[in-house]
Amino acid sequence: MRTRLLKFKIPLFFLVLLLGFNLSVHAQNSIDVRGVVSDASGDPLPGVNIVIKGTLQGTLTDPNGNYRITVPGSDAVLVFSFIGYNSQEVTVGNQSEINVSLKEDLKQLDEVVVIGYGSVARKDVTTAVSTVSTKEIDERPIVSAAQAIQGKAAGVNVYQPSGAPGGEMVIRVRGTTSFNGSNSPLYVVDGVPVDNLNFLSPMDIASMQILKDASSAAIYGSRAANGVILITTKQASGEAKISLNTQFGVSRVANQIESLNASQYKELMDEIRPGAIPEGTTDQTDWFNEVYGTGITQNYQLQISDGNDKTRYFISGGYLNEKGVLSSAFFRRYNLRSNVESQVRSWLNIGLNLSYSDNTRNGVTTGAGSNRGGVVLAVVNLPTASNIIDPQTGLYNRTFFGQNIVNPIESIENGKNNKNNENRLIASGSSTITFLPELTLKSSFTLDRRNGKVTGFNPPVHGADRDDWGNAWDTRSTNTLLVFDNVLTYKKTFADKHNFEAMAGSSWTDSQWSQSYINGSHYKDDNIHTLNAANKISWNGTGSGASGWGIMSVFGRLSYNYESKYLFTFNIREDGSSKLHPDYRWGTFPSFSAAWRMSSEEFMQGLTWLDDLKIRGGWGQTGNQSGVGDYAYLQRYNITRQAWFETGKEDALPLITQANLRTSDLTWETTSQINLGLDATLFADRVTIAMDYYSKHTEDMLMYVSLPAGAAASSNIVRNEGEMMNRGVELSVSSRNFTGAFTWNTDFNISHNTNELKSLELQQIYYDAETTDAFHQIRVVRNEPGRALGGFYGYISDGVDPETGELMYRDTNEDGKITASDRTYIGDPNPAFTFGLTNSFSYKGFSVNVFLQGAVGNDIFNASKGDVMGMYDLKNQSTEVLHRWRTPGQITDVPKAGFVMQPSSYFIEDGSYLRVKDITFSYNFSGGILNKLGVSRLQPYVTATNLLTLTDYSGMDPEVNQWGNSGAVQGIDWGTYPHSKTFVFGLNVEF
Amino acid sequence: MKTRYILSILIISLLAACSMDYDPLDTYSDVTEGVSEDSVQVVFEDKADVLAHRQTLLNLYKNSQEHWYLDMLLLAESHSDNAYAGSPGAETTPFEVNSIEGSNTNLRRDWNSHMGNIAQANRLISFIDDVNDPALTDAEKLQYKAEAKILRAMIYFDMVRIWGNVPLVTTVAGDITSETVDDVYPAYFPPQTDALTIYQQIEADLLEGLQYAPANDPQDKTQFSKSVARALLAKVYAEKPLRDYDKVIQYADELAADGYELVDDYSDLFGVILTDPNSPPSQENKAIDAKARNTKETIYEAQYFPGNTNWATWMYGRPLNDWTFYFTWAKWITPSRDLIKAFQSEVGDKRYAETVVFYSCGWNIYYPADNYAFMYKCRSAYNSTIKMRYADILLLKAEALIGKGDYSGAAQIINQTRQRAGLNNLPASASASEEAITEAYMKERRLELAMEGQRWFDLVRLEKVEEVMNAVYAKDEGRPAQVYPFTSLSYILPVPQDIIDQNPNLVQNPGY
Repeated sequence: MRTRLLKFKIPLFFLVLLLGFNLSVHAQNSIDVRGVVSDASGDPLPGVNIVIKGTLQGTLTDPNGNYRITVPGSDAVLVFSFIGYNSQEVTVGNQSEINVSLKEDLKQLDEVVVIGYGSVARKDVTTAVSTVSTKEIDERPIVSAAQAIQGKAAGVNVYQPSGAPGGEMVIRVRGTTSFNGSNSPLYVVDGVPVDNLNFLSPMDIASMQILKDASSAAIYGSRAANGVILITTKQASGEAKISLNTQFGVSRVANQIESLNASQYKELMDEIRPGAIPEGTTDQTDWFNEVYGTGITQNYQLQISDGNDKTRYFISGGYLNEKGVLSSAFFRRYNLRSNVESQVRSWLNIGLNLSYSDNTRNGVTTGAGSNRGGVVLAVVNLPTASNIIDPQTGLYNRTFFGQNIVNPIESIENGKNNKNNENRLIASGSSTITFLPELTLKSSFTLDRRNGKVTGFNPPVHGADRDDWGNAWDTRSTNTLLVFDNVLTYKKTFADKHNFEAMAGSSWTDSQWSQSYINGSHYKDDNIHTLNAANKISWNGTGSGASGWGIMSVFGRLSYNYESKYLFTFNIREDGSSKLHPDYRWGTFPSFSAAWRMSSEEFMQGLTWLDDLKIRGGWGQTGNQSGVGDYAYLQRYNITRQAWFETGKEDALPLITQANLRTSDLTWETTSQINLGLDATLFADRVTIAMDYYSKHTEDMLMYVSLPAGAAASSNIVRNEGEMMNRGVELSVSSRNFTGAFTWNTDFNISHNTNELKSLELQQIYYDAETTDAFHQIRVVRNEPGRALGGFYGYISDGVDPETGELMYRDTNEDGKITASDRTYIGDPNPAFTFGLTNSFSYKGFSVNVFLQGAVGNDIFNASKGDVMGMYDLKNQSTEVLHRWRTPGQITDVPKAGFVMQPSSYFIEDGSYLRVKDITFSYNFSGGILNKLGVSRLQPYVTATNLLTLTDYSGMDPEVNQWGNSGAVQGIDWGTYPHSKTFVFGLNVEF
Repeated sequence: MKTRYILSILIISLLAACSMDYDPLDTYSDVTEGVSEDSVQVVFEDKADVLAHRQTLLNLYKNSQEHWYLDMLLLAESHSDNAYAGSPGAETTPFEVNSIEGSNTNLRRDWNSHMGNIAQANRLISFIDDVNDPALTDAEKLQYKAEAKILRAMIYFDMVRIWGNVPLVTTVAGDITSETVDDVYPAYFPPQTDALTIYQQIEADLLEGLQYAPANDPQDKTQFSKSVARALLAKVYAEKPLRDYDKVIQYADELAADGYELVDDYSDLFGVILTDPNSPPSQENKAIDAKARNTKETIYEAQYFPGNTNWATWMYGRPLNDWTFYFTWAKWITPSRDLIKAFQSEVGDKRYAETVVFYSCGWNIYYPADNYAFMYKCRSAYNSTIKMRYADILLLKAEALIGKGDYSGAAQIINQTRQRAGLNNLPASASASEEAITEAYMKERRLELAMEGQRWFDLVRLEKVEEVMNAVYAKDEGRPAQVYPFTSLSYILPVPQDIIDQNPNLVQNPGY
């Protein structure tokens, strides 16, 4: 129970002194105490924490609720605590047997919430902070911590843009703030800002908080404009505990697009290009079954923790192996963690957190047409009449009736040689000095070192129709981040009513990155893949690079509350960043918030159904400078090597050409946010409600601006270009519908966000998103001021003309011709609502947990449809084209083969969906044999993920975005790796 | 006591000033190249910088294969009667069937690339005079500026023939900051200028270039020499806005005086050296180098050498240096039946075998798979791409003579190229009337310069677009059906819609 002990840290050293003194004098007076801990209905409670108050010494109850502890003296106080129950304190006195009955804690208000550089009781929070429950993390097959957030926090939109192993997630807190910079929130793990969570095993997480509004996030100032996710890893709590979590899962693709068989394909080809396909072709290959298989996930985590009155530690290690449904895609991670904390002196507490992780992944080409190696589309586009292997040569087939398609089996086989490995060490040492009970100084120094290695190899192949010489690549990079933080905190309560806290601190971050890359070709055979075996090292694809950046900050906070009734907090932070122009690189980010606990007022005392009501409001400014390059304000040059092997050029030197325009006034992007909220607890703590309204206005938005070519030697510049606005409402409700032997809890959250690009200074219209070749590189997303980001732009299609079979496009400007000027906005990928609903039921050790999440009102641009239903070249198509128009007078919604295809509303579909994301059945064993073995928890479970998706979307999966985390482009499905249905069997054991 | 000790150390370390100055470690930037000296912006610090940028300009055509060779051929050959698009696709088929409009992404790429090249040339022209290095003499400054002006003229000449109305940019715009943004906006978002003014700028650039550019170097045809200026002037004066046939003849003659003449063997221009010169090319019998570079006929070419080769070769057919490379999907610029018929009507034309080659392949889109036609003038990765050669200018002289009424003089010139191609002279009836000589001239020019990026521009210049192109769809059974007829508005292509969206000061060309 580390969080509870935090409160006691200050008076700790007094008590330790006292106890120590006591111990030395009264050493012979230690007493043995034992007893049973049970709940309100008399059932024994295993795993209850019993701690001698003022120390770290304690024990746990066994599976029968029994405990036994030795206390130093009769005035020792035992604290009994257990999650979800009110703790009790009992003075030992003369008793040798103390039985305790714990009452369920329906008050979540005593829970401690971690905020920036400090922590506060939930009831005293004046800002919009969401807590993500980590209770069921060990029952879900999640690979990354970000997956744990999905659907669990209002206003936080999390989705997985592709189903590739490794679980890359997109997290958006309260809308899109940045046009083409970064929209990711800041991740802070144990006080250390990190850029991604790949290294963190979700089971190491003790608590997760999301700071959503400016007044909470402003303490992280310059990097907090997109919100902050605070993660605290586990620490020992009381007696020794060993826990083992294992998971084994199988997955299969949920959806398939059926393709035409050989005779249907020939029929179609005869309409598009007669004579291209010879007679008498038959079905040879079932491409779907050749390419897609069964994915297997294994996860093993072991955690050991222990501690005594001075020192405690938490060690964990684990192995995760996720093999994807496309056989060469995988994600594998080893993780090791050691969190140690020790009170070496009464006034000095030292901590060391070490975490090491090694992860390797391999991907598959997606988001490309089948002619550029896109595997997902190739499965549909390949004629069933083609073979994988050319029967005459024995080599991979590459000709498919003249159509340019890359053989996906060959890509997958070659893809097995590609590896992307990263190992990361985060070492964080901290010291907390207590000058006075109220005054502490915490200093911490962190080293975050990351090594990445990307290697790949394509084997040499020679045949009558091909001469591949084999090529390989090797890129290695190292990133070293140093963080040095100092935080001075003063906390005091005056007259038991006035609670006052002041905090001041400084932070310094330095990052150094370097990289080397080699490309080589011409291999003798495919046995050795390293580059020493390549005869030709690429003369302009080999080199090294380096860069660095730094941030320096000072910050402070003042907070005051009167009996937790009137609460005020003021934060300020001043940041300087090396990425911005020296004259403009310092920014000040203040914020202010206040809250009023209305329920503590006299006039509210009569309302019995209302336990707690707090209204809060705040305003703050946060900054952003991520997503621009390290030296964005400087004019930089591209280096071009000259071919020194040409005659006359033996000693030629590289040429430089201007790469960008300089920005001599590049400064912070600033987001000002107002937040109004309400927290209420009702019906004897059965229902908890949180509601928020927010309005975010971003100014000096950092953007990569492109200008018309010709005016200067480069036409791109990074500058503070525009303004963006996001407004929304959030609601989250938690209720305990049934308590007692049968329990049923519900957690529900829903949010709505309106986004608008308010203004741009230079170029007003930006096009983005080139998708399928079928659209001749026309971009389908258009952004301009006055609209939400990501609008789809194209023609309006009015269905199929029954007379000609062509798709009719609307002549919106009525000039008699269908030209580019007839295009207009045809869709919006931003959802009207996103929501998550979790229901958990339990009865006598058996529990069921159902998690649903979804989005409503978002449009998807189905670019894959252009490749599988476009009927414009020799690619095989989906069976949907059997409904195509063929005779005059036929009424259908699929146009004829070879119709004029433009990006149009024909490709826009409603992407609203409701997904049963996780269903978990688990059973908690207890009793006889387990007690003898010393096992305190044995819980097998079964979880089904992505079991059912309700949607009108016709593509493979509505939760995709080929453009991943992009702000300007969302909601495009183009050959993206689909999600899979997974069944997981797992076991949680604790000793 | 101890705590105070520790406290003071920590406070000192807290206040330790940490520098925020991080300089780029792997990139040249304002830090290394210098931004300003006495508030005057320094672009080129010394002669070495100037020479490096000049080398970039010299490499420009070589590095622009996509927009200056591939796309140019698509426009000149597939948008005329010489070729089919080759690989049906939404960016290529509109050229073949005349349905190009503002959304065509090839044109967007070409516009942006050409304008980008203009900016590179302007950089040298605008800032070379500010260089403060005694090693850079005034004569050299004039020479380098002249070379850049010839390059700029060459780019604008292509742009104005494609789009007609393009923005005329001759300076480099200043820095953008929140203070200067309103002042520099017109420079970054320029309006279009009419074609005549563009031509006048081209003429001025070329005349100045002619004065100071270096003389022709027979061993290096990648330079911007006086001869390049002369050749361009001959082409400019043949075009309608500044038409002056006397000047065309004058510059053609000056080129002859510079030492240019037709090579004796046409195959020198586009040939390769094979491993075994006595056998036909194959997977084993690879090309090891181009047959010839810097011939006496080429005026301006981009050269490619083993190790630093051209990549466009595999877009057209089999690269003879790597027989099977990418030969699994349909190729661009497939020679049309109309062109092949034209060649075959001149029996024994040696140019036929140099322009069109037949292979068997794995697709039968325009021709049967066992005997498929491919463009042959970029047959290996070592071959140069010739932008201008003397035969072009010589034939323009013939055109000028026709314009002046001297039909027999024109016929004499036409006979020169015919003889080189192994054909007999024109019959006397050919020079009898304007119609006859024009027809003979156009056919000769077509066969001589097929697949070299000339045909469409010839049809435009001679105002034969409607006559020839509206008829070819009926004559050539391999050509997909025409979508829109060619009209007087078809002579220039549409300004890409994306470019207009980007710059609201631009206006679309009429008819699109």
